Amino acid sequence: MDASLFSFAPHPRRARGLREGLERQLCASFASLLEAIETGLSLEPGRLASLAPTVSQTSPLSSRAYASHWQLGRAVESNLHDLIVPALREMSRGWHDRFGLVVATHRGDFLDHAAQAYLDSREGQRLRRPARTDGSDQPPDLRGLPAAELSELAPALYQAAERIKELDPGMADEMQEYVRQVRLVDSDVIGGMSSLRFFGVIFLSRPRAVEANELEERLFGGLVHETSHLHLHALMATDPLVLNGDERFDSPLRKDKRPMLGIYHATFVLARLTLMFGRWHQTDPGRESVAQQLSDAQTRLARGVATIRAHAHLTQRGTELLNSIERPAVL
Amino acid sequence: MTDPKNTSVEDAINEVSSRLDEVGDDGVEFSPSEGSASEYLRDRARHVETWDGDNA
Repeated sequence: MDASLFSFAPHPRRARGLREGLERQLCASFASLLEAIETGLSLEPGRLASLAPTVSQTSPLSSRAYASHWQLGRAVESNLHDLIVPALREMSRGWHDRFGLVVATHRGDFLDHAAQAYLDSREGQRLRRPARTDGSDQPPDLRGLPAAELSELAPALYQAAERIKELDPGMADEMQEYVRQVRLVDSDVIGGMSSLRFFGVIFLSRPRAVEANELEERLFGGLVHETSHLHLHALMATDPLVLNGDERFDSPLRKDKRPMLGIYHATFVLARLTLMFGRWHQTDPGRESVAQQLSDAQTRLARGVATIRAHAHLTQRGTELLNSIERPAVL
Repeated sequence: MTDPKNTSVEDAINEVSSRLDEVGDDGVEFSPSEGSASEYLRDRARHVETWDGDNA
């Protein structure tokens, strides 16, 4: 295996192989879940073969394939029969997406439900704001944006994507391979969100009005942040990197304590943010908000690395990746 | 999608639906494969990465 895979720095033409490897695993996993359903329901072996996704040489596996896989896995593991048919129906709508970055918003579809299901879970509840004291209902966690606002934000997001391309072709390559759709949402709960359970779609909270003068920086940071999570998910399909259990530690990015897997993810992302905002800062040192974002990422990165060094149980590759982050040029 | 048995995807889903109705909620237990890539992926998909934005 190419050792350079386990360097935090983006590298052109590395993401396609990782994505395809992840997709092969997902397809194999999907097939095993369908086989479990066939066996459990005493169906003819191979009866559900037509539903199993396959890897394409030309198109990435769709986000709905990942979301269907997640829901089908939950159904089979926990015997939640009601989840099976909806997951199969969603799967039957298509295995593959097209390359290209689409800007969209929350619309209450299967993917939005997958994201909301996390926020409704015990883990997701840790993010919730305290109940309102005036007795009024909490607004939904993820809310769609009006079409006019989405139209205003979309150019800034594409501009941020272009900026990434200019500053680091490797990062742009990862975005091309991993990210199909950015869902800009109104949310009081999250700044951004991504997961293997809906791989390909990233959620970004609409930057607040007070940040309007630094809109591109916020969207740039959000794209780098979530793309880096997806890259690490793809990398972890080749090696687990982190071997810790569920014990929780201070997070460099969230108020609540997180398992080491989350700390490692956050720290990796902060290394990427430090790198990318650092490059932007070099090209435009007078842009104050970029300097602030860089400084914030550096501070949090140091915190994350210290927590990992003190408490993590890593594989050899996990240590290799961490070592690449600790080069003087980054910290 | 290819269909090796010349049965439509919709037919396959309907058959699953019918069988689930027949066996009822308590009539079947599934046995997912363990110690496999499938289990590993499902375990990793339990994690959702979120960040608090300016609230962190």
